[in-house]
Amino acid sequence: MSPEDKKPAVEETDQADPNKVRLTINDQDVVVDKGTNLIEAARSIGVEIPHFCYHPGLEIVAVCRQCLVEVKGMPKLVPGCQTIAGDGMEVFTASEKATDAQRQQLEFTLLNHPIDCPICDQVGECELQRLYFDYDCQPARHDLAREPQKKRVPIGPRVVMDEERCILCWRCIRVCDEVAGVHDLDLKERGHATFVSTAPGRSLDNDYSLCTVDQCPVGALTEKAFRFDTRAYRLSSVDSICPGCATGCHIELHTYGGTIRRTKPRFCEEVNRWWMCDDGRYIFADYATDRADSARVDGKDVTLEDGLAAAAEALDGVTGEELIVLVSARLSTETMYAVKQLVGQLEGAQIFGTGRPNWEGDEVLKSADRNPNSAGLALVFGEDLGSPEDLEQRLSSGTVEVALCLDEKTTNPDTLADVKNVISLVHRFAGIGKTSRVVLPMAAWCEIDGSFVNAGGQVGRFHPAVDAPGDALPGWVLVDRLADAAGKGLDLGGTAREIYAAASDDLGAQVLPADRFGPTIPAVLLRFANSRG
Amino acid sequence: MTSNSEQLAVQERVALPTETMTIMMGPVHPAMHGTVRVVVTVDGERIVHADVQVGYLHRGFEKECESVTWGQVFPYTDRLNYVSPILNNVGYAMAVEKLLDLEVPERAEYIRVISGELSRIGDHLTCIAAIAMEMGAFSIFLYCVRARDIVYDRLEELTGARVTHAFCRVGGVKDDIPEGWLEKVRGGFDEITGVIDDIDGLLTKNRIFLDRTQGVGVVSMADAISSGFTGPVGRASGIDYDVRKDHAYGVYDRLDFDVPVMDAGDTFCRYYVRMEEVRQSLRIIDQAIDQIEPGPVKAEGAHRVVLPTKNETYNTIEGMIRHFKLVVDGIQVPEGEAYTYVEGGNGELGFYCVSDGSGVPVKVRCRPPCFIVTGQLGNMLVGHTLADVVPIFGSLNMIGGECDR
Amino acid sequence: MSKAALEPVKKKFASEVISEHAQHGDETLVMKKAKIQAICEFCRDDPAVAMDMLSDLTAVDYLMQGRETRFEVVYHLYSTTRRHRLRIKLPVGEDGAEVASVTGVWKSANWMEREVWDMYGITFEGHPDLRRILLYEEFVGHPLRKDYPIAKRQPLTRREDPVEGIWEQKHILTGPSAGAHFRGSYDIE
Repeated sequence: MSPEDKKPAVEETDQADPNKVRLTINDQDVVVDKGTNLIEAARSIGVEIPHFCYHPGLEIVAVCRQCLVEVKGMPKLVPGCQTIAGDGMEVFTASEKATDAQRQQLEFTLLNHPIDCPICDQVGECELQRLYFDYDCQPARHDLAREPQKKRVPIGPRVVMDEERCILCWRCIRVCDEVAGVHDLDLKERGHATFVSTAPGRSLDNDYSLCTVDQCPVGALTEKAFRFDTRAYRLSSVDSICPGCATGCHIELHTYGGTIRRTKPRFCEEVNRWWMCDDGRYIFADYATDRADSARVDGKDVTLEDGLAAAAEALDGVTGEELIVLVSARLSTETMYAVKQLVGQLEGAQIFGTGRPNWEGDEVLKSADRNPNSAGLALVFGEDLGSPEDLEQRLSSGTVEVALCLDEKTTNPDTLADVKNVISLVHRFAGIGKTSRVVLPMAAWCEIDGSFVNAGGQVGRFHPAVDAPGDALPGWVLVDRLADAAGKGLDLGGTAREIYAAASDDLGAQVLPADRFGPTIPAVLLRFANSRG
Repeated sequence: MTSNSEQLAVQERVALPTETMTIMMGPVHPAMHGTVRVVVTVDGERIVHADVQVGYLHRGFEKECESVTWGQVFPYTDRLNYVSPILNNVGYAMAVEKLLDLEVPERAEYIRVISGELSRIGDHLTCIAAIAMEMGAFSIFLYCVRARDIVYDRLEELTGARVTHAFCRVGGVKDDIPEGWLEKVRGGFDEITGVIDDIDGLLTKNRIFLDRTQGVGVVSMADAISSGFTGPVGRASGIDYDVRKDHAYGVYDRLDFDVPVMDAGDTFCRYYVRMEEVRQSLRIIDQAIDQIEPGPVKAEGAHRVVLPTKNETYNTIEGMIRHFKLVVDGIQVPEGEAYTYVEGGNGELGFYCVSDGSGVPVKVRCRPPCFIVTGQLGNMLVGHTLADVVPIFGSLNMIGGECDR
Repeated sequence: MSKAALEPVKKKFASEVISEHAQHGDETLVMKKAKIQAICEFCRDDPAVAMDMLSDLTAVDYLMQGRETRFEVVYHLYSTTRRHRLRIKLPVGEDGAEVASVTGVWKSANWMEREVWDMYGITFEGHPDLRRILLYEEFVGHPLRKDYPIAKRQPLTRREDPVEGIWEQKHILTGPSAGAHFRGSYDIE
């Protein structure tokens, strides 16, 4: 069937558009923007061209030669990643020549590849496994011994290198150069003896070293902390937002057996693209152990109902002027909004924002502000928010009877030493979690549904990955129940989505767009997501 | 005061008040094999209503199949009709092969026939044993079990397990025949034939046996067809339908055998058809042993379906990768649906498989002949005595694993 | 399977046919569910089709495929005289998951429809005795539905309140939990 017989997939206007290019791939008409390479052009119609070294976020090097395709009129096969789609091009990705080339390239890549699958962490998300099975799948034609190379090379503090598995795609080198901006990795030797190693005098120690692990298509670079932990196909993936800083990189939390095992970045064009920094990778581990799982009154464990009753009692008869509320910039927007509703019922109460102190950010992704929701704090409370200086002043005035604090990490317990009644909602029995009179257990970010607003004003939605320990509940649930116990019913919905909707109505849909709190995405079992490579 | 005879006359004219009695037979009952509860309501000795309650062995076969890969379903199929497991393996393998348009090598087909017919012999022997034992002829049970052990021994040598073989694979069978196995199988024929002959001599003309089985549990041919009876139960009622003959699969079209059909449709026919089928199965095995030729036992060149050999897996990276992908992701079966049917121990054993293109099935439905046959048990029992429940139920050969899945 | 079975049905009920296919040689008709009883009677009685046996009756849940109608009730018909087969599939939506029963056409449909009700929750109107067959009466839910979690357990526990009227009935019991009128109940933890 010639291309002329097929109905053109393009409209007449596209033909005239100077920014569009019209070509055919496998006898199918495609229209793409000018400057698109063939891999992306094929992807736009659902055709996959196998590749290893190409990555849309990195410089194109065309070293793996896996993406060779046939273009009519060109004497040799061309790499799909490097060839820009031209008007009238006829591309064949699965012709005999192209298929032969793809098969041969896979055969070459596998010639020296160690038989490591049983002990390699990449199994289940290995690009080499996937491409070999989908595009080649022929038995080996040789039984020659393989070149032994160094295994378990401590290439950096968080990454382990296995030289035998490396297929020399150069992705790791490019990630360090282009994303982290440092030249930590380089090639050594040449020809068949080439291998990837640290650049002279350096170690793979930059702030984005684990992005090389994400991008390595095989198990050559693996995460030390995740080594031999879980098979990738047993993991369930949950979409989340990193709470490490105000950038709010989009991430995935991978869980198995009810615990989080590792963090991977999630693609987001506006915020972090494909990358995330190393500091955000292990935040989940902080919340895994040693958690506040029950309410405490005067240091003794009590049921949640009793804890709430004690807190309500502390608030009883207290006027707004005698109450201060310390809201952390690490809480979800929904919890902040719930606190705002509660404070609205207690006239005269003063609200102060707390947060982790700034650190040195960088030009890449790390924001100097170490709090994920400072923008949310500013949005929700606006001018009502007192500064740390105001807080000091207020505390020294001695008029504070009750303090309601959320988040033990951002509040110094010594500053509240003079306050008679401190009610705190905490993750851990530490800091104000130890010194407060009434302690209520709060669920952590990875256990609740909610959203953060990042420094750029974008709302990021996160989903719960694991269950909260013991009696711990989301912050807004505790605030809601506290209000009920104190006889001040808040008109909050039952779910985080409803609170977000209420906040959006209240503060304006342009700052809290309704569609950003999207549908609840259930955990995806990686095995049935067709083992992503 | 009235005289005795006058009193009696009065009594005769007054109808005796009666009440039906409901008796629970099962689920724990020596004759309710496979755990079934039959709630019979009797008026005296006559059954007026029987409610057959199955499901005590329901283990969620279909639900399990929906969360494992295509290749991981084989052990589950073993546990359907667990007295003739190979036949279930074959049926399911054929369904997936149909979806894949995959051809099975000839030697594998012959091995499937031989092991399948051995399994069928085991099934029929068990049924005959149960029919006889539950009527009191305990020795028959022991004879059958002795003969059945020959079958189990042969299958253990071939597959590694006496009962739960998991022998078939998509594209063939797990392994080739061990050396000398075919001669051993032939060597067992005499003993099995001897047992059948002995039982024939003891039961077929036995007055007690005939009284208890002839005319008992009669199912007319029209009823049988409407009720979906196939297999020995259907053939006992006159339905001349055997999947091996009428829709020959594998290499059954090259084998010469007869299909016993009787028309009385009672318990005796259901017993006798099975006896004859054992003889015919031995005939089939004999011919298959003569016809089998050396060759591969798994589809060759089907690299995306058949696991690589152990040698290849451990010594080449390609084999290792193929092994991993096939085991973890499962065979990627193209989207579609297929219904295949084989002659199981109790009738048309069908497998209806639906695929969405991935390595995990959307649906694996086993069409269970036992379930459909047991469906009519309630109707069959009405009008019989309580003592008839045991032979009727025994002759149906209801296997709990297949009925309840 | 052969066209001889499919063509007469397609011609007679042309308005009910949604689509047809013969994947892997299995003739299949996807039809609207409204006239299934008439279709089945025709299949059984028409001499050219002569489907005297209902080989299998089951359902498939296409929730994960995101279809408009969630279920499909599948009938496999067989003719012992003509030796041909036909598969008829009825798309059945989640709301209004009812299909007319064909127990009057073939006796084998009785238990098979009960199983579909038990496992999928599709009711069969006109069925003489539509109750659970593979699961116990107290079971909640329909387990073969894709949104029923496979690891969920529903062990039988002691009932606080016996089903009303069971203790008193002495005559023929035909309703739910028939036969459960013994004192005490299972206590399986």
